[in-house]
Amino acid sequence: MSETTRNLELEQRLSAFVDGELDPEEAEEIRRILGEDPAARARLDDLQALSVALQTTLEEIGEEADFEGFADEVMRRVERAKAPAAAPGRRRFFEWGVRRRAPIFAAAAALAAVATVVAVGPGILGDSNRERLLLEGDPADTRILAMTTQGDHGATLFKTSAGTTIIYLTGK
Amino acid sequence: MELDDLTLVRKCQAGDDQAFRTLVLRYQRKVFSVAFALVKDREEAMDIAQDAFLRVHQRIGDFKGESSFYTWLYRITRNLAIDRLRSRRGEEEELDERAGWELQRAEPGFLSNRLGTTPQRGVLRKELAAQMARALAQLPEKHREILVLREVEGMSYEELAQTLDIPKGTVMSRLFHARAKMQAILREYLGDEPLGLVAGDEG
Repeated sequence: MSETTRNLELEQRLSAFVDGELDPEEAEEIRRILGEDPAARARLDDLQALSVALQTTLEEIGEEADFEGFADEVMRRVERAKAPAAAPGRRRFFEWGVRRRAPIFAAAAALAAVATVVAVGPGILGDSNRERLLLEGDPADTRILAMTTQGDHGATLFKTSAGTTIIYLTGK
Repeated sequence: MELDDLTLVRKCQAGDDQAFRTLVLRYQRKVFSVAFALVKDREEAMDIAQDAFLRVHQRIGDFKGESSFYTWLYRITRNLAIDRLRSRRGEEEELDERAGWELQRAEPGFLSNRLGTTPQRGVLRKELAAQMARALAQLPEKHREILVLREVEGMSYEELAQTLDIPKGTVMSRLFHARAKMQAILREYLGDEPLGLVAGDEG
């Protein structure tokens, strides 16, 4: 076994020693080494200093966060999740959209551009083809996946039972 | 008298939302800290914490008590955080295993010399706390995760093995590598400046 490997093995055992995870015989052996080897002692000091500094840093991150209203918001979401499933897609969107309005609009707009060119063809927006395309498959199973508005535009993402995903871009 | 987790879970399963609220209040900071350690973004960590509790409520009927409630909650939080990380993979660069070892190892005593030999909790100097957080953010996810669970949650190796679903021997070596890497990164950041914990002036 090379010296480097031996050192790494010792350091690994020191790490477990700091955590109190060595069995009594191994721990005794480490104590003996610590009594004889100043470098091992210095490594142990480092591990202990790191442990305290990490605990302090991580706890401060948690303590600095503001949790006022956090539990209330969780409970509101729990209540909404319990509500009758009249429009699950719409509800999911509103929960998400409140926090992520801009990204969803951007994503929907990008998808809309692709869908318009590749799947639907130009001219879909604003003409009667929308109705027909939306009602592909079972009309009762047409689900709204997401809706959003921003500025003068709205975007709506639908999925039908036929698996078609359709996006409306509309002006106000 | 404060009810234990399992009693609260049983009440939740019977439809007691007040019991669920108690669990939220009990674990909100821990869940946030774990999510933050993984995604490194406060707002995103807060979103994940919200989503984690909502998912726990939705699945509370599935909880059989085979692991502790916190282990179960932690796994849900972790999965949500990892989903987020996967969705943004490529945006950030982290040190991988190999790159970590290219860093210069800190010489023995480096860190304790900077921090003092009798560091006291809660008196970490602001600039060092910032460097610590920065160094932590540089670690690979799995190293950040295991350090958080060990140092903040105080999980034993057995609990870590169960929570992370890895052998106990892997827990030992992963913790060692995480700590060695953290020290190496701190060596780069701290240089020879005398930074550290302020000893003795804040009780």
